[in-house]
Amino acid sequence: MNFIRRQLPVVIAFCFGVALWAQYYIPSRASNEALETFTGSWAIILAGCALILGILSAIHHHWTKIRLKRAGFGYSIVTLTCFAIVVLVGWFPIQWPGFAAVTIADGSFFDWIFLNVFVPLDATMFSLLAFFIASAAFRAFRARSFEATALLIAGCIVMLGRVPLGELIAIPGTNLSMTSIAGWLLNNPNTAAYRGILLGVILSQVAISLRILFGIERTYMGGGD
Amino acid sequence: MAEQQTPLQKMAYAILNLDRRIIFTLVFLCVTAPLIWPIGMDFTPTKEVIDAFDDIEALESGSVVLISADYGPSSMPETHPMYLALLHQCFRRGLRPVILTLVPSGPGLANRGLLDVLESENPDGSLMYPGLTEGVDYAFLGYKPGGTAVMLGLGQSFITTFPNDYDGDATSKMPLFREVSRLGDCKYIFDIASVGYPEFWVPYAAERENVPLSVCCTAVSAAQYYPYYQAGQFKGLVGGMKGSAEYEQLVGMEEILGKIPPATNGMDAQSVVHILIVLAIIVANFFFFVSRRWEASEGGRA
Amino acid sequence: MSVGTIIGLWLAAGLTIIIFSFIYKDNPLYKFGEHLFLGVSLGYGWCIYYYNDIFPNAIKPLQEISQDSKNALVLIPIILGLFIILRVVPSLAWLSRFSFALYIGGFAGLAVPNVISGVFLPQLTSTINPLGPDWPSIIKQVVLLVGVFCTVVFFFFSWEHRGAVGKIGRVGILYIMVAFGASFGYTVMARVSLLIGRIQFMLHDWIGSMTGGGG
Repeated sequence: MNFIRRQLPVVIAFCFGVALWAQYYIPSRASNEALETFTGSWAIILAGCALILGILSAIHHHWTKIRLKRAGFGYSIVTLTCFAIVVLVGWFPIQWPGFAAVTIADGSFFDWIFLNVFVPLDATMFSLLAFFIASAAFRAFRARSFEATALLIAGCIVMLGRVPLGELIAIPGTNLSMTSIAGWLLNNPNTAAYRGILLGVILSQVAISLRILFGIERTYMGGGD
Repeated sequence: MAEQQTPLQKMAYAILNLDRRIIFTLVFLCVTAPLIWPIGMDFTPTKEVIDAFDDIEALESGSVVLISADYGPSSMPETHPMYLALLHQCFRRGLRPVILTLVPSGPGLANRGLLDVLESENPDGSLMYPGLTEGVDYAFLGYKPGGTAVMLGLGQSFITTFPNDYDGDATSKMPLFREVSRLGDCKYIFDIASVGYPEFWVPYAAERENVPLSVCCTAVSAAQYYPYYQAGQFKGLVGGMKGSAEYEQLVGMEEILGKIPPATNGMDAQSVVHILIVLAIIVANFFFFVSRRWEASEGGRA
Repeated sequence: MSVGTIIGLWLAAGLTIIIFSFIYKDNPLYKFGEHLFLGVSLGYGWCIYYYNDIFPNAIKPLQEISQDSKNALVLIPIILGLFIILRVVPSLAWLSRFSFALYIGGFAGLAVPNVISGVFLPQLTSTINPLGPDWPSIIKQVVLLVGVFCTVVFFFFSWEHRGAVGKIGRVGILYIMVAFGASFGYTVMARVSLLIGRIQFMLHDWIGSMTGGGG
């Protein structure tokens, strides 16, 4: 039983990983079909199930909060009620008055909820960040050191150079403007630094992949027995 | 005992301890005022955006363009105008877009945007793009989870990866997918993304299948994608709302819509808020150094 | 404008104001909006996953097994998918290890050749180019090459950052700071854009619909 629970998943990861790695170098019809089955069907189903697990976990969290009447359980009632309404509207093809008799497509009640509830809530939630980033820039963005000054100057150049105003901040009679300086900065030192980071990221990605394949990295198995 | 504060020191203290709600109000006013009273600042498209536009313009009529609309409402003002402009460009050039999304909050917006473009009318009330048939001239495949799995799956077969389109119709019965069976048959990939998918489209789709790729991303990730643009792995790079506004200008969205398009409309407000934030940083730093010198001299005397 | 559209506009505007109320301070109305968003997005996700993934990729092939026996293969990911969902039952949670092993192992294997040939090598080759043809290009190429080298050295912690390595690392950190500054500038731009989008909705769509200028 210990082998099944602890060793077999590592063997599966190794076999599948090596097989799909080898597939890259052997693009035969059979190996392409195997890749098609794995990526176009199996992996997509598994990813969907993982996302459903996430939803179930959130529901479980809020249900527990309601059951134990923890602080703020009233909000959890709002969450679960809304969840139930949207699932009812989207999952069951009921002819809702004033809406098309389709489940999720255009003209459905589900689509109406998406456009008039989900979209404004999601978009506004993120738009709040504009206020906080302005406040943070005012309070925390200080030229305390040489490096911090470089960061601050580059930030201001991009802020001014990547809006229409940047074209107006220019030296007359030359091609030099805030826009052109921002463009040079993004295409040269910025590119160089992010490329250095990117190369490091890829090497670590390869190292992590090898650790997974050889069973050194096993955190995906979770805790417990 | 500390000496009497000078007016400059008092001002420094007041500025550095400004109530954050005053900053919030200034930001709100700087966004709202230019939207009510537009300034109409002109701007020239940058090379990164022109490269993407020119590539799409250069495609032969009838070519299939894969558009991955990987964004949701949280980044809509930056990416959705680009999506609409790209669709107009595709239909005007006679290209056939195949649209999909890899984010769960994406299909509703992508579908709405597609319908808006298909329903566009000329000033005389006639349809701008008449006679387009779903599954022949365009397709909307909807959402699939898995990210890289979907990209690799598309490299093998559209029909296996997306057995149905968003409306539930079988893709195997669509003439478009009998002609274009896999990603390698597409002439271009355009990823419009609010998340990190562009860096996965490069190795798992564009490089693997040898299909050119351009990207529209939120401004947050624009700077980190320049290495891909410099290496030619992104043929074009449309960054944020400004990039979308540039693309709108290149496509001629103002003439198409008969009004200022949304990203272009936001450019005045964007400029004004950026001036506010840069000024705030300069003022805060000036008073920070004033107060620091004062504190140092106080410390020296103590 | 239909009744549904008008109700939708007012609902969207009301919810926008509810979320904006957080700017003043955290309040019960905002918390209500937050949990409403959570509930709606969970429900939305549930339906989208079902109609866009589970039904066409898992259930439909099962229904069509009689037409094509190859469809029976779909039973494997369905069983493994059920194992993932069984994580909600603590005593059976270990079953999900097989599913994750297959998925993560598979993609670890796929990642190695694809990222090396698809990103690492092209990025490296475009860093080291023949110099020229003119002085501006030479300067750009040198700036790029020096920047990439110094940044990589800065992240190389196997050598102590002293002497020559320390100096190269300092140049590297300067490049990194410029890049992070650029990212900060762009991040400000992104956040402001999102606010512009919401104010555009409130002014043009909502108030515009009342004054006849909506659209």
